[in-house]
Amino acid sequence: MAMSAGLQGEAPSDGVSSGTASLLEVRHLSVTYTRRLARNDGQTRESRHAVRDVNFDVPRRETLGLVGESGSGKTSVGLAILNLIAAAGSVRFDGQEILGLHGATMRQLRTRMQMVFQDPTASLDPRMTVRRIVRMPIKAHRIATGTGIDDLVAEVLNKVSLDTAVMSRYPHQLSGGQRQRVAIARALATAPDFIVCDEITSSLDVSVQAQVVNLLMDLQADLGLTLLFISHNLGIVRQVSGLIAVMYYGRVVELGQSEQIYANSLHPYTKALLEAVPSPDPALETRPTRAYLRADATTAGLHKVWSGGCVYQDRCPFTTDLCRRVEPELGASAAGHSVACHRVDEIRTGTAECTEGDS
Amino acid sequence: MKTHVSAIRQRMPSLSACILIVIGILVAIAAIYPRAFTSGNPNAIDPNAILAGPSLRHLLGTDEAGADIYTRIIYGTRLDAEISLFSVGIAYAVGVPLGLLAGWWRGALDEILSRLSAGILAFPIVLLALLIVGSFGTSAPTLIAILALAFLPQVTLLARAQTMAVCARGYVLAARATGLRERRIITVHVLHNITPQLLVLSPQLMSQAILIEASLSYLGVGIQPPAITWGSLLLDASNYYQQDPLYAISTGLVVTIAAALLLVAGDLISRWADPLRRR
Repeated sequence: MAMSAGLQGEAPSDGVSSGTASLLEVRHLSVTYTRRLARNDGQTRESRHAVRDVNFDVPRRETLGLVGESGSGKTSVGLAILNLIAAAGSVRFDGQEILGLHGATMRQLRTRMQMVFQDPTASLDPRMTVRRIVRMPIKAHRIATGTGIDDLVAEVLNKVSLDTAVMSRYPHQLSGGQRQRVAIARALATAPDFIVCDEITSSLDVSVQAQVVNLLMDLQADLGLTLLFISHNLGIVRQVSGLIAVMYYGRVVELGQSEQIYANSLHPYTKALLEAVPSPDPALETRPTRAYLRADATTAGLHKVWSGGCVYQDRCPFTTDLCRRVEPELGASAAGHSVACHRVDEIRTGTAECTEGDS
Repeated sequence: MKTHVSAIRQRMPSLSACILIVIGILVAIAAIYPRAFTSGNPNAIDPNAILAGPSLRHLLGTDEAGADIYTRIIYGTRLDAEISLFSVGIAYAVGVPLGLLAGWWRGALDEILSRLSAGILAFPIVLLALLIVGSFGTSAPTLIAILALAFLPQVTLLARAQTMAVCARGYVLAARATGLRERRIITVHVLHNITPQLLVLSPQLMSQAILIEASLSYLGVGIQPPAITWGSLLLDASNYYQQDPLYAISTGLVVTIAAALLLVAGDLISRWADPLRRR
């Protein structure tokens, strides 16, 4: 059984999926948002890639951490995988192609793949009691009937360590942590195999974040869940994920096992991200030995339309002409570790020269 | 036990709501069974007391034909209640589903409905009423139809806007992610969440209905005698406001108070329907 980050740079061979290696296979996933323009120069639509040609696998019972800054396309990837927004490419869940599915087939499949959202205040209907919220998926999929429904509600609330007394409460009467537990309980109600967790800790108090993360990891161990854990918090991702994919501007720029990424990151963006993680002890915090982010870097590049070349070229201190012309492909650097960077070998050996100021 | 008591108190209407409910019941009784409030006949004429002031026999005095004003106001309640209830009811029955679908599906349906609504809204209601009355004549059903048509765009646009706002909320996406049918999402999540906002508008529209009915009656294109509405009373009273100011003041106050109470009712309804605003 392949436990490595099963990455393929190119499309998989058109064969029957083995069905054992990975629960989720994402190939050439692209998400484009189009908006109508109120202009009269003939151009009526403007489209922008939120996700462009993303490939990764999530092996069964494992967690893939998807990290990147705001606007990098993490959430779009999560929504596209669950077929909640229009996307191009291929998403195979347990061997079955999901993109393009609709109606009863897709609804049926949704019992197996669920999502927990960033802000439970938004994702829970304020006019429903907790009981009703958790009952919704159970009734929609006829998972239980009669008194069995309430028994199941109590059971899933129990799984997320919530007292059944909360059943008659409204979301605004709960704490942030309790609300997120309710959202997790709702996702668990259909006994899914796979859950997309979209920034599930970012709206929570720091003291509660750890509780929710620990709960999620316990649930994963108990129920054999496969997770896509989207977060910008590298500390939490490290705790949760065996595999990590780093996204920048709609592209996966580095993908590998957690230890590889944290101990031996290669992409300049990943390095910059890791250096930005604050240390709990300021005395231990060392000044970075090398800058992996240009001194004049801004996030402005994120808002412009991609016009070829490496997505990180505007913020990378090592940008060369090649980087501006040719987009680097995600290529294997070590077993299970891939990086999309032209200068990866120089960066690995520490011989990459800064080109800052040349442009 | 304590939580039980507080739960009941949460659901208990406030004092102002209680007063409004009592008034509402009284008005309903007056509309359905006016004899409960007066033993007189609204069309009984007393030639010896024309435009008489208040007395024990005639609490609010008499009108130009010697009929009891109080009795006529009570008997006028029924038509006003019918007109306001039915016109608003029809506008809601048609407008809410249209607005929901337009807000949910968007696209061409939304485009057409929005333009149509704007078109109707741009048309002065009294002018519209004059046109329709001119061609179909006055009757309560005609008036109800006119008012329903006038209220329809307001209800449709409100339902549409609220639907669009609710659709952007996380719980609608979450409901889709859990695998709910679209129909369920619309009825359970969307309709449920736009109900308070829709309810706020209904008493406002009813008060508008009463005021518009009064304006049309005043212009002479409202309900015709011998049917009695508050508006028609106001028209009669306006001719004699110098001889008998109380005649005009009492009928005018009835219309004003009814409209005002309906506005207060709208606010109370929204507060009651919203768990976040409920104390």
